[in-house]
Amino acid sequence: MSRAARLRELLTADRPLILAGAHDGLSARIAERAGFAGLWAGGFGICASKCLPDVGVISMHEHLTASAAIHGATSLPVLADVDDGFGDAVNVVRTVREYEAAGIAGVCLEDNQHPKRNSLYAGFERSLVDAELFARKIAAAVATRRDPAFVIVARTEALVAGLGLAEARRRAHAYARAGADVVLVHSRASSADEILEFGRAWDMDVPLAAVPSTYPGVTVDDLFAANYRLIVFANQGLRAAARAMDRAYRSMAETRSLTAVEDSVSPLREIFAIVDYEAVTRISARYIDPAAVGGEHLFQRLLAGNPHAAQDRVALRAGELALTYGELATCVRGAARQLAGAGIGAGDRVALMLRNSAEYVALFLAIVALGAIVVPIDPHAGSERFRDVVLDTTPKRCLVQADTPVHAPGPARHVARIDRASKHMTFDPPLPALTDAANLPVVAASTDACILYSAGSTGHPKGVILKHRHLLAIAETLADVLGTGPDHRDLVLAPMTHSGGWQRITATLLRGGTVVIFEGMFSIAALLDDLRRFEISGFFMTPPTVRALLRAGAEKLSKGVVGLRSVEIASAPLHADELARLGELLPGVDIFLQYGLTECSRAVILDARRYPGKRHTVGLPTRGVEVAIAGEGGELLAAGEEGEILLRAPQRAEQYWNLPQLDAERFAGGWLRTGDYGVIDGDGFVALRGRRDDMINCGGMSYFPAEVERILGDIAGLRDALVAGVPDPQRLLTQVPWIFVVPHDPGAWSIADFIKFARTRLPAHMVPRNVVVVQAIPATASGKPHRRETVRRFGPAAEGT
Amino acid sequence: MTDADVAGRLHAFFVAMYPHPGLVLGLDTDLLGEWFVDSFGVVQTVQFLEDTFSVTIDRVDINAENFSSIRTLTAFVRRKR
Repeated sequence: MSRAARLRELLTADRPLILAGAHDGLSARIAERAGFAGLWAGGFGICASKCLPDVGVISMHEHLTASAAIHGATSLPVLADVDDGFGDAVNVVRTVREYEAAGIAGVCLEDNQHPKRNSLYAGFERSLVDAELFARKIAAAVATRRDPAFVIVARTEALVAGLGLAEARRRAHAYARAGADVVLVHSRASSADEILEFGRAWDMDVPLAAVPSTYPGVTVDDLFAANYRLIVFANQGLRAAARAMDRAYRSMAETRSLTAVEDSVSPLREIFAIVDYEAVTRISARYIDPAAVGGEHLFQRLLAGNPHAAQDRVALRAGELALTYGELATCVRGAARQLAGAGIGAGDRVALMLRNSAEYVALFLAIVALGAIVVPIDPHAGSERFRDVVLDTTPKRCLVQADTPVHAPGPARHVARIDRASKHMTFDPPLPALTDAANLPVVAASTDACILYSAGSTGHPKGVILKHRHLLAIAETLADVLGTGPDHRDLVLAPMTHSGGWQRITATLLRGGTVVIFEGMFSIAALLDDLRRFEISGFFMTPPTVRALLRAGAEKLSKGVVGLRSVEIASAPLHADELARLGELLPGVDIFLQYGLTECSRAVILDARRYPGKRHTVGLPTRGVEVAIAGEGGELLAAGEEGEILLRAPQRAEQYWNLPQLDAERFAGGWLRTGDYGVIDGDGFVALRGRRDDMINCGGMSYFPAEVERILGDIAGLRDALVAGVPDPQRLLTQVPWIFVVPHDPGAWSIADFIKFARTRLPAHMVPRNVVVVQAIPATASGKPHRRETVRRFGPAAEGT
Repeated sequence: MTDADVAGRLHAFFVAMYPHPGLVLGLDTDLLGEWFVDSFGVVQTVQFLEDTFSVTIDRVDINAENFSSIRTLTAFVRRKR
């Protein structure tokens, strides 16, 4: 969407749009970071920054250069305040052409006589051009724009010139009829009375704009109620800077020292961050360093060619084992050579069936460094999932830990272990390593890196193919959101076999931070212990962990969270009041809520501390992500309308493994159909309305009941079975699965044996928490099992009645 | 509070929190292998022990030995009190 189209869209929202005045690139970037949705390239500020009065003495190109700097420094739509268009209609035509070509979202033209005289300075005599003549100028601007979305604002100075409300109204009508998209009514009064009176009597569809510089007491809501959709905070940034500079210069001049100002000026690193000095490092690493040749792949970006990775800094810590960046890179290279010696090469699949460990991380990177594809399998996922995945992907090898359960049939197993002394990867049975001289291949960013399995509505899990560039895009997004740097220490609790856990690792390594892997039995005491012991700066958790933390209370938490800067929470529903309580327990800690799918992780993130009023949403799209809402027929809906959420994003998968028909269904038209229902509000925040009806979300893991039914339903002795998610009575997990069964012979059928069987075949989040024996499963009119009715009749609320 | 009281409270807690109709929860039933379904069973149990028996549980206490059955948990509570 062009920035002009975005500005137009913001103007039609059901709330006022505030533009922040900026006068150069730095002020623009600071305003964007403060959360403004659009910018005003104001003539007063641009002139003042050159120490010139705002009286038409700067040329169009001087003004355009400043506007382009504002445009270039941000991703926001910029409305340029171009005075009278630098002359008559002939000048206006060129002005519109040049500003539109520069990417500016719109211009504001005013009916002052040329040369322009600033509206707010009392000492000027002013006269306006004839209303009809100015209306023709507006018509010229409208006719000149190439993009119909380019916004033309007509500004009348009638009130400033003392011509009264009637004349202002006559002019506003003429300009609106001439095609202006917005009419800006300027006032120099110290109260908003005349502006409000004008707005309340306004009788055209064209929205109004106001610049309350001289009547700052008015509220945005009052203006909005009086038909002002666009409100410009025109010059406060420049005035704030002038005041701050005045104080700093005076203090330095008086004290002849810097100590007095040191605390009141932005630290250099803040300026580096605002200006994005890191871009230089990123560009060098990508295009200048010799090590960058070989491309944009994970091993290159995270280790071999990572400009943030200090060789002697700890990259990975698991219990007693600590690997520096140098040691990890050596370990990964060694593992890759051994895997290559076993014949693993580009496009081959390798199953990785390890619990969270340093080995998992090193092997993942080694496999993808060969251009081969990682197939992660949760070691506790049970034999059915193992069989499905192995049949689907035919991996050449299965890499495991000594205690990984053995499932057959499967590819050759090798126990992988990093030797604690040499820190080299060893395999048992051993793999014949290629010689050190053999180089790793060149791997392109578009190479498939891994296949992650996620819930399929038919009961069969589907493999999502993620390429190197998808994983790197998520890593960059997450690193930016969390603000990870070399001093970031991330505690990994969530399974690395899923995006939730794995992408914390990539985001941390990408910026040279340290990954600490949680070990042992999970408990809040253990979590707090690790947070304190390793001075953890951030971690990812699921809602059940949040609830356990809330129960633990403030006293316990305060001991563990000293260095904590942020937490990230998976997208399962979390009540706004739970988020609020977490915020109270973790003062000063950023709380990020993420929404995404295996196909497109971290698509939308809510900064819950920054937007307390938006805790019922999942936040804003992350960098480069587009969110749309589609109706029943696939048509795109407007803001505020509810429908299926569609995603377009740099991290979005493009393909499932061996499922071309599903590719066509889910990835049609460049969008990912998420199957989730939601709505986008006027500020661009995404609120979830519900997941696809039957999906169960247990402890942050989502799946369809059909998968459990398929695995348990064929058990001997059962006539019928139905699985449904019910709310967790303890409210710790979001939902828990219950199974409703119809045994052939209820007398001979053993629930105990059934549960034992379920435990061997299913991962924990799919094992039914309760078995309800029923006479028959209720059916729908079409004869299909009726899940909702079954839960209503036999579920938790029905029990004991 | 006697060992029998502690074991009785634990039994009531586990049956209420993790209903497994058809299974009998005994003093020596393997909690980690047969009764809890996931790691949150342990998390909830720690909370319950702390709230009910006024004990403080450290990370080192949370291990498979202490949490393997109602019998081992009862002994653990006795040592802690």
